[in-house]
Amino acid sequence: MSVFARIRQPSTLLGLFCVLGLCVIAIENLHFADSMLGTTFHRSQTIWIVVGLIGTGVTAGLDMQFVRRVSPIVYQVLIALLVAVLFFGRDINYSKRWLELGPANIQPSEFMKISIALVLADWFDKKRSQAPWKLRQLLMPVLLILVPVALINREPDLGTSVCVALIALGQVLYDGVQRRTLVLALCVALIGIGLAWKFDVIRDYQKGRAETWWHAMQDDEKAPDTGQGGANRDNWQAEKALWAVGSGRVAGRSDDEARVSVLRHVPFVHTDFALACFAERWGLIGCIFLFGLYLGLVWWALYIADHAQERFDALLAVGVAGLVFWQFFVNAGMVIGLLPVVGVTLPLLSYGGSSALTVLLGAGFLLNISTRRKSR
Amino acid sequence: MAGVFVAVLVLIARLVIVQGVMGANYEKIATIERVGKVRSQAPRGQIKGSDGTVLARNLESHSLELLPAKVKADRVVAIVSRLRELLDMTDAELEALRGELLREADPRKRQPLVVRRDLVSTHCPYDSSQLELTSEVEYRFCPVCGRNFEPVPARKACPFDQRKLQSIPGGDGMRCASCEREFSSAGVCPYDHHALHVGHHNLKCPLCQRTFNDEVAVIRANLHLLPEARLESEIQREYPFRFLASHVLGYVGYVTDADRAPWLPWLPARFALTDRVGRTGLERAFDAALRGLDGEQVVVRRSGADENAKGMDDLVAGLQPRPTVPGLTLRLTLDLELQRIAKVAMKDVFSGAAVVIDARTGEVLALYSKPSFDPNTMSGKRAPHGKTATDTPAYAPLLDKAVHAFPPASTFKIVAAIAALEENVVTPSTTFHCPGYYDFGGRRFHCHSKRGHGDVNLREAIRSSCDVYFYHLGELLGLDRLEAWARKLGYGESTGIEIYEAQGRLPTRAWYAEHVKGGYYPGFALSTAVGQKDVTATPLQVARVYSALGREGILPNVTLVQGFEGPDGKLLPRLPRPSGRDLPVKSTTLRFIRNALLAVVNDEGGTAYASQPTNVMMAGKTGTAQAAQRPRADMVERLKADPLALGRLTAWMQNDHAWFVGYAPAEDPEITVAVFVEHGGSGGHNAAPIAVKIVESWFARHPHVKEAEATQAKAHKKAAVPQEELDETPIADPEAVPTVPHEDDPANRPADEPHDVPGETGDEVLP
Ligand SMILES: [Zn+2]
Ligand SMILES: [Zn+2]
Ligand SMILES: [Zn+2]
Ligand SMILES: [Zn+2]
Repeated sequence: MSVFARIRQPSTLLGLFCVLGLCVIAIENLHFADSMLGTTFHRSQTIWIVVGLIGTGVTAGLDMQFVRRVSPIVYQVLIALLVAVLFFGRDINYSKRWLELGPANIQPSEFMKISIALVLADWFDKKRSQAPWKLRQLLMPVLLILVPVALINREPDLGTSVCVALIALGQVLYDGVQRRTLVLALCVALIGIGLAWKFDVIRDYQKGRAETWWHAMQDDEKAPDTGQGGANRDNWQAEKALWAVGSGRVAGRSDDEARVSVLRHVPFVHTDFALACFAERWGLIGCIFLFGLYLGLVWWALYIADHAQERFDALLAVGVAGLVFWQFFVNAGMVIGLLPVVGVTLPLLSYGGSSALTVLLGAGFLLNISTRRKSR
Repeated sequence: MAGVFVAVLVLIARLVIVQGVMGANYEKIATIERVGKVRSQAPRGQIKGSDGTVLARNLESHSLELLPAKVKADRVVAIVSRLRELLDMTDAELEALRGELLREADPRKRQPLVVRRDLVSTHCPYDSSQLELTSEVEYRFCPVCGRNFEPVPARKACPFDQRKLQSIPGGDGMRCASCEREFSSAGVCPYDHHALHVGHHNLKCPLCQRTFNDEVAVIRANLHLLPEARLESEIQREYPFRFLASHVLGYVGYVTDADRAPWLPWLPARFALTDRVGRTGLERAFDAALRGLDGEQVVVRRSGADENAKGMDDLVAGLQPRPTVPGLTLRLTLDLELQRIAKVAMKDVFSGAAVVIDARTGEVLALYSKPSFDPNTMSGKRAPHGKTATDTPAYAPLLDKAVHAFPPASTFKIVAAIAALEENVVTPSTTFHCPGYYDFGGRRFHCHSKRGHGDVNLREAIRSSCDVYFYHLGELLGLDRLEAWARKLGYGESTGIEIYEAQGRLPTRAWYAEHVKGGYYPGFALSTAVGQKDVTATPLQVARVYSALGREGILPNVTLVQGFEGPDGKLLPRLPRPSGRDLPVKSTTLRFIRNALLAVVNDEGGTAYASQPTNVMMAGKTGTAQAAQRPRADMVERLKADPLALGRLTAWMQNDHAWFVGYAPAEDPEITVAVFVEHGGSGGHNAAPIAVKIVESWFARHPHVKEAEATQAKAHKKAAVPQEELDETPIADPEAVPTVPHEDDPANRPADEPHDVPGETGDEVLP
């Protein structure tokens, strides 16, 4: 079967449809947000998505053995970059996440998501005989996970660090772990999160303070909930975003109506709350379609994992599934008021070149696995 | 995969609720143009005296702010000249403001500039009385020095206190030395000869008779001319009695980052940015209860065309998150009148403290520490012109000397006396010879009487405060036994008072070995027995211990608080307080000590014989602690420019600390007074008279039931000397005294009890 014939399999077609559909929706949604605020984010995002799609093609054609050889190096480079970010990173919104490289701002933490999936898949595959896993044996992967998680958390970027941890966790669980080990690991993770959170809260509060003050400068009136600290203001943002989502009702609103409402109520339209903007414009129907696309993408990845012959491939596909699913779930849950506000972006839909590139590279790996699997 | 499906289904279900079911509601709410949740600060609870007088309350205070973001460079001159018209601001203030407005900086990043805090509106800035409208009164304001001059009154007497005015040297003006008000009818400032600005006031303070202008009204009327400005109002903590009870009340201050950090990581910040918390005193001790719970209000501005306003209101009402719970009102045990008396009694003293506690309950009736400070200014309120936050920085005004530990001097001698009696080291009849000094360990320990007291027994030793006798006791008892007994008597421990207090220090041999270079030396026990060297105690601790001595050995728990007031002004039931503890001292010993303490005040030869209240019988003990010191280096540095003040301070620090502690009525104490005068001289001459004033004023207002008997007894006792006191109670009239002591004494006393009646009889050689 030629490569193109394999691509014509229904599952692969569905997956590709989902990816491309999300790309199109993303650019359209950003365009709308731009038209509202007079910004040009959709242009650079288009460039990133085109670059990303080329990347999809390239990764789809790569030799997996080569990928496995390179992935530890990539991981180490990314760790170095994460350290560099802490020192030389660009300060945006009180957090250092970006490295300025030529014309583009790179967010190493995003690439770490796919890199951790690769490295872990590689490690579990090499030690395959030992599953199901005991805690002691998991020391190495835990280190592999904790180092980037801690570094990203230092930025501070709680959302991304949690995502990295969840992606890795998904892989470990997929590979099978003893129940006792699992409980232990969860406890350790909870304590770790608690500690990390403590540091974050302090910074959040500084951030909250600065932002409240910024509001006070812009407004005659006192900013909403002056001095309420980070957590409450975030809730308030989420509540207002919810009004926008609800206003979309079943069928969505006309652009003119939505423009006024979104402008008033939705913070971070381009990034964290992009979904709120989409939901107001397209309503319940549009949202179900959008969720369907994400679900399709995740399903495709898990389908590949189930049918992969190589253990490495399966683990990698699970990693990519986690990459899409966790970000989607956490972000959507936040926008529609199910989960607390943590700064997690929606894959592809939220503005962010590194993030889009990561997702599209992930799709490339999926394509790579699915086109290769029957040939062996 | 199934998990993923379920998760997405949950998301969709939630969407159906949000968009399908609730969509219409959200759509309506979303027509709100701007919504804010505004925190509504809970009013802080008041603090009241025992009679209900408000000691701390909340007043709305207004301030004028400029928003640098809105100020365009070409408006600066106009703004400044407008402010000059509206408010009495000095040239320097206006110049500083102009400079601030013209400063090169991103105006959006600048916080509002406060032009003036605490604008006068409805209350007098000096005493917080409600201002009254009056006919217009002319006044003159100097834009250079910022002084206000009232028109010179006809009789050249201060309109407030009627004192004769003094003319201001070098200028045409008068001033009142007592209340510091100044008068001039000339056109130039008597101080700097700058032209005065003439204005009119139309508000008058009924209390201090000062006149004011309603600055808030003036600004408000002219706000349209100053679009860059805004009037901010906030609730200020107000202490109407200013210096009177500041150490008890404490003050509040703005929260710091450390205050705001949450208890647990995932909880929200503990305070809002603009919150204030109690920093010292009761404001701090009861901060949580006084604070109450902040509420949240929803502030809504709707876009113009909205037909369905009624339904909207319901929706908005549904957003109402949290009602405000006001702070609780605290009712104190403090008797304001007595507090004032204590303050007045201490007026000639530089530094010290006076504490009065109810000997029965441990309730604090007065607690005054001098110098005092103005908690209003400490809480961020502007000090009225010419006033400072504290009287005199050199004498540590912020330190509450009533709960700060000092060497207790001779007031500590009762510890050695009780220890020696209880441990059978001496009997009341044991005598030692005092030649005026005692040689011990190659050192000469002096008695305060250079000539010596001759042969003295214990009672005489206490009465005349003979140091040599107690050097002997110190030597016999040793340091560690002294420490153990001091601890048993209530030294070195918390008194139970709600505000921060020092615990005092009771050194042991181990302590000396650890903390003092050269370690322990047996002479330390001698010094400790007379309350010198390293032993310290707070005036409050001393008052508490003496309360126990006066009242059958029951050590009360000290408290400042009666309880919280309910909304109806009635006291809420209070959590039970731990009752006092019993001193492990035999009642015969206590009786002996009481007898001796009575002699200190009432016997000729007692160290406080000159200080007897006229209306009640008092017992007590004086103390004089050697405390000659040199001023601290930083003080010397600070006062370098003022050699006169430095000289005064140095001379002051050469004096001894003076103590007096006493209780009255002597036979059944109601109150215990402890007076400590830092570098005040001698206890008998400098501290006891203050205590007498306080005790007299208390019993003038609370006539002791047995007052007549007491005076009678006193007269009786002085006339017909020992016979009667000899074997029975030393406190004369048997009816005035509970019969407890001598009823069970002879029966219960073991045969070998050294502390027996004949012993006492031998003592009673009154002069
Ligand atoms: Zn002047
Ligand atoms: Zn006067
Ligand atoms: Zn007044
Ligand atoms: Zn003597």
